[in-house]
Amino acid sequence: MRVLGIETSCDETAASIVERDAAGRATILSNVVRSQLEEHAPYGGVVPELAARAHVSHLDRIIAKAAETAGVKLDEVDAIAATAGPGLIGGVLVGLTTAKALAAALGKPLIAVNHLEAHALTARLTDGIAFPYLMLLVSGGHSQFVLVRGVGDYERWGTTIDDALGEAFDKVAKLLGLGNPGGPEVEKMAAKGDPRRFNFPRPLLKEARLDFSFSGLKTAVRLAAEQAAPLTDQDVADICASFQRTVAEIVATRARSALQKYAAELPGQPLRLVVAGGVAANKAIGAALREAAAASGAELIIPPIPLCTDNGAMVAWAGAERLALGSSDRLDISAKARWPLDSEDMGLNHAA
Amino acid sequence: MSLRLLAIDTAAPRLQLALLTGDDADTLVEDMPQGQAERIFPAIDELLKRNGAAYKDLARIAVTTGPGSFTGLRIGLSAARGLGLALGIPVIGVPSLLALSLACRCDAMAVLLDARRNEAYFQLFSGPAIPVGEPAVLAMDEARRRIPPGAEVLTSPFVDIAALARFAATADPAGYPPEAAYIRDADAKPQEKFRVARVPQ
Repeated sequence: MRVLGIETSCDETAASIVERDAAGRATILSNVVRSQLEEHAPYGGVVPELAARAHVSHLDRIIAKAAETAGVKLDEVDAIAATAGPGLIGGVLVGLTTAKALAAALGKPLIAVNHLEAHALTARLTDGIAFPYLMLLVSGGHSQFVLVRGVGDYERWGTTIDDALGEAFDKVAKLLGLGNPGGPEVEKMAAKGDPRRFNFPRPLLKEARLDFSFSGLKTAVRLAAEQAAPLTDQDVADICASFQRTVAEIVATRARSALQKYAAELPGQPLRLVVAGGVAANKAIGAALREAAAASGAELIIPPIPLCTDNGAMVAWAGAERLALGSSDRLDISAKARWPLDSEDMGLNHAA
Repeated sequence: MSLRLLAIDTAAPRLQLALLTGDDADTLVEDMPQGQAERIFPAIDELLKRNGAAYKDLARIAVTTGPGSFTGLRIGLSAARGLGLALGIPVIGVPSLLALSLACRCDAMAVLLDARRNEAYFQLFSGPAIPVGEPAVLAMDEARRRIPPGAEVLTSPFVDIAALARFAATADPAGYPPEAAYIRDADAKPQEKFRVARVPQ
């Protein structure tokens, strides 16, 4: 089957066509992403109203391009999948409404995809792994450990109680006057810095829970920066390196605990940790996770970075996984700003 | 068979649809402060069915482009552009103030819509769909001052959806692109204040 996937929940307007064969193997036929970085650059972060405006201006052309690149006519796809949440509601509405229009006019099933589920199932798209597995989602909007038991079947083991990890990178970049998105900028500066010059706090880390907290860390970075101001390039590099070392330690420590819990609760199951979200691109965090996985005897799976950041292929794939199980959604379904993976309506729907 | 056109207006707190077949318009109008995104496709389905029509019979889509509710505009535009893409048919974007001017068979008129914050969306017309100048957002007092003596003043945000459908049936798609005309900018200001001082380069 072939599924069109549409993603508009943050600042990427994306569409993709993915094919899933009877054995569950995936082929990405096209994957078109239009980033809105330039629109938001003057504001030092994503402006929701500007994001929604850009999505509605560009989405139909992005979808047409995805079909053309794939060499597939829109009426040859088997279903239309779109992110229905969670995310910036103005953008989600654009993608979901466009998907409804396509589904209605072409007479195809609509799959309203949870953006987090799309991230969670990406490792099955890229690596074809079986259920269950443990997922660490680290992006600009989310930082959570999720037990992935099956399609629509999730258990959230920990989340952030304040900022997401990607958000922390962005805020640190902003206060240091680096560009946006902050992750790659902080990483670039960190490469030239001394990771031991500053000792930043590691909030919550002494507690047994699997939650994250990055807000206090961000404040500590600000205070250190203000104390050292005016900042030289070396100061900035040292702050970035120290901050990055700290978050890598936090993530690795939590990953070890999460894997321990997994081993205890799912004895006999292979230990697998899947990473998703844009922060997976950070090499220091990747290295720390590799170490943590190795120490726990777990396999670490990090999909290619263009499939870790927001994209249409993961949405198309999640749609294909749901369609293969006979699940689809009605055209009166609502877009959701908030939609936790373990909420009740994550189960399979047999509406159509 | 005569040309079938589907017209959509979600710029105001109302879902308005019209199916034009030749010169006959069947309309579906429902007041709703919210919920247009959930209701629009079931409603289109009802409208098509009761006219014995299907999506593939449509030759054109028309949609209002604003000004109006930002979210409402995007629901209408996303639906219209999605249908246009799926069916390979033109989508006519009709500016909302121009669409409102279709309701008055008069020579001189001002369309003046409450834009909140004591402002108005404002445009003058010398006849239905014959604009004098561009749509603008003005201080309410200023908008009122600009109403020419003797001009009709239209203040309802609700388009006559059948009139809109008839207008769009013959409009040149090249002159009416389906791009939102918000008129009012997004509230967004560059943020500098959180930045820690750097040594000058």
